[in-house]
Amino acid sequence: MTATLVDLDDDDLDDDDDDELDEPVKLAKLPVPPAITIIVRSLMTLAVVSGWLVIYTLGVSSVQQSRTQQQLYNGFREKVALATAPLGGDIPAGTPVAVLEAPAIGLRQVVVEGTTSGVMRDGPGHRRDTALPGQPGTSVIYGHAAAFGGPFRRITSLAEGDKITVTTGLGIFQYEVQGVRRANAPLPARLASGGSRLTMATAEADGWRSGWAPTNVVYVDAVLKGETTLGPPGRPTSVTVAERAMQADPDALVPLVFWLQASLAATLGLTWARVRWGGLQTWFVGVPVLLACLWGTVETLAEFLPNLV
Amino acid sequence: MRRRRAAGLAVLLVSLGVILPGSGVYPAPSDEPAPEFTGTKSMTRAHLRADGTEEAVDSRTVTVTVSQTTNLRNNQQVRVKWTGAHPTHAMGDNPNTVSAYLQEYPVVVMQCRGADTQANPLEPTTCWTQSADQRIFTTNVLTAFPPWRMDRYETPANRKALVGVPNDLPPTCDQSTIVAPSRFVAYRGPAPDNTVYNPLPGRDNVTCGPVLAPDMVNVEDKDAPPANTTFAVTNKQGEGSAKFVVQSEEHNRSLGCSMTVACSIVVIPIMGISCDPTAAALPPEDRPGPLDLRFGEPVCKGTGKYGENERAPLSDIFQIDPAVSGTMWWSASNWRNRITVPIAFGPPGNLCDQADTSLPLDIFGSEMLTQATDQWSTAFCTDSTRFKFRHVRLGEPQAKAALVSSGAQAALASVPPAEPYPISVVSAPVAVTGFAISYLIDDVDGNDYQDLKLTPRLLAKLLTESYPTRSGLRMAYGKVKDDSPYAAYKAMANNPLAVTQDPEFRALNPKVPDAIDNILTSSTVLALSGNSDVMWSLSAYINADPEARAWLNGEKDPWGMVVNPGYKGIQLPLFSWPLLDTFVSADYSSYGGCPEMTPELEATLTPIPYLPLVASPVANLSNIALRVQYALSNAHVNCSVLHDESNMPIGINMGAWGRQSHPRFMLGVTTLGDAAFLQLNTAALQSYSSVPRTTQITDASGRTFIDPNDASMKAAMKFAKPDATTNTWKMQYDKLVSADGATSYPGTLPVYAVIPTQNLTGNHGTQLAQLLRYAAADGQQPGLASGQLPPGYLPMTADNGFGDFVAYTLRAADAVAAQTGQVPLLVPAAPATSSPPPAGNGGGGGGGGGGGSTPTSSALPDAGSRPSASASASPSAAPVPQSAGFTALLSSGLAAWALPIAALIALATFLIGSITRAVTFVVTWWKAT
Repeated sequence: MTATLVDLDDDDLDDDDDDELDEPVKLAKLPVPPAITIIVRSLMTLAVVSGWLVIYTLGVSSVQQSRTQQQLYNGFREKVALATAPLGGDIPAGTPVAVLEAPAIGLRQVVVEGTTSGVMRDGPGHRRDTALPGQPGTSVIYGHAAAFGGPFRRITSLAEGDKITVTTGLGIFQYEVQGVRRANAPLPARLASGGSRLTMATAEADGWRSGWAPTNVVYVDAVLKGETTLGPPGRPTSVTVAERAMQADPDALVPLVFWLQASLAATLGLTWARVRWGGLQTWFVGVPVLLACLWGTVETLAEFLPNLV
Repeated sequence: MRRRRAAGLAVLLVSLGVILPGSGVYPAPSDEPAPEFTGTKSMTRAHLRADGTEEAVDSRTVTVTVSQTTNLRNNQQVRVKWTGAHPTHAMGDNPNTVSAYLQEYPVVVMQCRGADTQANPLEPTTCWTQSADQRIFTTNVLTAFPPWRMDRYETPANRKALVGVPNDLPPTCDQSTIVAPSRFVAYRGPAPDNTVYNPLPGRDNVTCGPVLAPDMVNVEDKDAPPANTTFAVTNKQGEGSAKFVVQSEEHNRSLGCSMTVACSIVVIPIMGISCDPTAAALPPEDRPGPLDLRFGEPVCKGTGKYGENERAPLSDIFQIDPAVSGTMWWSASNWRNRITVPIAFGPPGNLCDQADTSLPLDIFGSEMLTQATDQWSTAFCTDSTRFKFRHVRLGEPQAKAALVSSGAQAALASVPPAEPYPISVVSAPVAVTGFAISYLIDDVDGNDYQDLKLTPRLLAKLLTESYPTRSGLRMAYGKVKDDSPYAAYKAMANNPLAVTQDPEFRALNPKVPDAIDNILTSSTVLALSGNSDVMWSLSAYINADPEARAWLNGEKDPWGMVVNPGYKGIQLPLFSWPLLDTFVSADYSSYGGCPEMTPELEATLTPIPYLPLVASPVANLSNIALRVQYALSNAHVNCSVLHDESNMPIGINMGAWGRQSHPRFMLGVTTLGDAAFLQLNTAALQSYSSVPRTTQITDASGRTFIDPNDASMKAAMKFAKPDATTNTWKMQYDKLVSADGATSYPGTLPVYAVIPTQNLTGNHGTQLAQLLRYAAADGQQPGLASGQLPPGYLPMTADNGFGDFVAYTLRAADAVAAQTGQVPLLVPAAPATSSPPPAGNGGGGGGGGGGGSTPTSSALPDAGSRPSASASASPSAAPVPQSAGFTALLSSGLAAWALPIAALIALATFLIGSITRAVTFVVTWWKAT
């Protein structure tokens, strides 16, 4: 009796009870209309997916991100040491280009090239149509405020005069924070010829959204104290829409379709397996497969979130 | 007298301009010299009844006059006037657009190649039209017999179903788009090729042979001057006029008129087609059947769908009666009513290059002398005892600098440089002319407004970008916070949007409509972007006026209008008028009018101040004159989004606004010479005001407004005072705006030929001396022929009181010829300022002179006026704004809602699911037990 109830909650085990009919099974099965079962299970699936999306985005992804950061840092350290770190030109998206440190807020992140949502899962993204840090011009770096570890969560607490250190293949550059800039504030004064500015952008919100659903873009400007260095030419002059601030990455649609297909295939396969193998065995094999599909789907779904969230 | 006519004969007033008898100088609306051509013709519209009798519908006697028909120059504007024509119904916006034929009873004025004689009558095939559309009629107006097929005066051949499709079309030509009934009026190009252009449909189909003459257009460029084909309007009294621009082969090679190829202006008052619906004389297949008659005859006999002088900007032939529209100007009923005006062009502008291939002697400088040198130079290069020279138009400050630094042989200028020339030069007056504020304004009745009055304060308001133009921008001024760097702009929140809404302007010009349509041009006066003595003199005039100066210093005008803070306290005069408005605001985007603008794209654009876009000064005065002539707005606010190959918006282009539609309003700073050549209206400028400057005026009383004409310029030149320091006559602007100068035109300026008296190369000294002697004598003979002084210039003769000018120029000629470094002195009593004054004249700061009593005379321009090499390339630029703009608000709804909604969905679905499950369980259990 109890076993049957548990089964009802969790899977299609009740369908199985057609073969050997006995009293208690009949009691449970008879009055539950299939429509209710389908609705309840669909709702539960939706609950699991969206719940996992929230949990993943705000919690689990930060674990993933810090691991990736660790790997990127190790790789970038080696590249800087070997002088093979990228210095300019057209750098492939996702390549680490700098280490950004702001001791005042305990920030240390490896900055990757490119600012699409997908790339910025790994860390703050450097906008490809701007100069690399330390080179003449303005460098723009985007960072998540909440998702994927929220590396730029606290940059708005940077104060004028705080130091920011950027290490690139060209050397170590000291920037000094000018201030936090929100909408309708005057743009920073025109850069002197040969000067360099670092503009970090992230998102923030007031009220109940604060901390997990930031809406408005906020900027922190810093100017280089010291000499700039020229890098190789050939920087891109424009970026796609997905690489601009607060844009989602529609390219994630393709992997999403694949992940959904994989989930469907896994479900069908496991249903088949359950008929042939029986419940326990199927569960044993199926749970990791289903979890992987769920993870992949939600991870891809997270790329549809704006890149500064 | 003038008032009465203005009230009564509004359109005629257009032509009642200007020009005192026997004078060379332009406008004073009194009377015009007698027109060079007058022609009269009687015309009748009479249908043919079935029984062969006539049914006369309309009969008129039209008289046409043309102001000038000989010695014409390329692009010169003449006035064509007529009386007795049928009043126009359904008036269009602009007589020169490609669709201007969509009017009822227009008067068609066009330029045709050839003369019209009995033996060789003119044909429509040599008449120029702006577009091929104006030469075809392919519309099926409900019948196979459009009016041109019922035209009783047409030849039987021209009444067939298809007319104008040549028999010898190449076999490759796709004729599927050619559907009867259609008529194509070919255009025949000039000799020697006489190429025939058949305006067949599918015009880009090259396999059908030439279809579009090179200078014809398919789509008109709104920012380019239109062709001269005119479909003009006749008023209710049967009178009308058109400013017609004659074009020689220099402008229109496809038409090919020149000194040797005779041409005509053809005036066709459209009366309507005289119909012959029965067509008894025609073969049966060309006779309309009963059904054709039922539909076709009313169309042919149509007399107009609109009332007299009803304004109706149309786009479709079905909206009007085609039989009385301009579209069938070529049909025999209309063509036979033409009045042909033979015209003769004078020597072309490039005559000198054709006559003589040697290099000319270049004289740099003043655009004010352009019209005069155009006529003088042909008299020089065609005379073997003289020499060939070329006037290179250049801003005067650059020309003056070129004398010193680039070895220029002569410069034409009106204002001496701030510091004396470091070489010995003589400044010999060669002409008396000036600048004008030219305008093209449609008044409240839709006629050409001819009575514009401007005060220096109005000019200051227009030049200082103090009219906000857009109500959105004015609201943005109001929202400026007190701690913002633009806090001073808050005061402009009460300024009128445009000059037409300014009570001061309205008081003086009550008949100018307060129109929102032309707000872009009525908030500014088109000025020069570069260095120029014209801008210096204009700003000196404004500076000298106490009213304007007080307003510029920040005082409110009597109605509360204030100066744009960017210009507050500006030091005048200036050689180059700066653009100082820097206002940008998150509340007003200069890209607001941009179609297809996306928020992402707008976020990437730097905010730019709006008013400098509206002001958009241009680089030379002739361009301003052209823009005033055609009311081409130069406000660069015509925004369009640029896309890359994948149709992604990548940027924007801000183009000029271009041609305006009715009612037009255009003001520009031009030379008097250009204004006269193009017959532009010129504003009467205030010479003196006895009204206290705080009075809210309601009319022009107490103020004198002076038109440019011989008398007023003569009066103004009395205030040109010999100045020992610069050896020139200086205009005393403080006197010009005083009661003494009440009758003088403040825009009057002498033009000097500034020529070194030492180290000229070769025989240039002798040659330039010859030019000076010519300018002092024969060159001052008014007239339109080669070598004479064109309109727009006051003859510099002893009779006009310029004896000392002439005498000095002759002395200067001797010095230039001698090349000994001697400079004849204007004021003999000042020996210290003799010839080479390298460092001696320490007090040279006053050299610019002009604004005598004003507080700024000591702070003469520091930009662009140094006689050093650097001056030649330093038009003063607007200062770099402190900040490039404001951070745009960028937020994302997706970011705001994605996660909260996901969380909500998770919670909701979990709750609903659980509850459903629990309820089901309970129900099941209850049923079971």
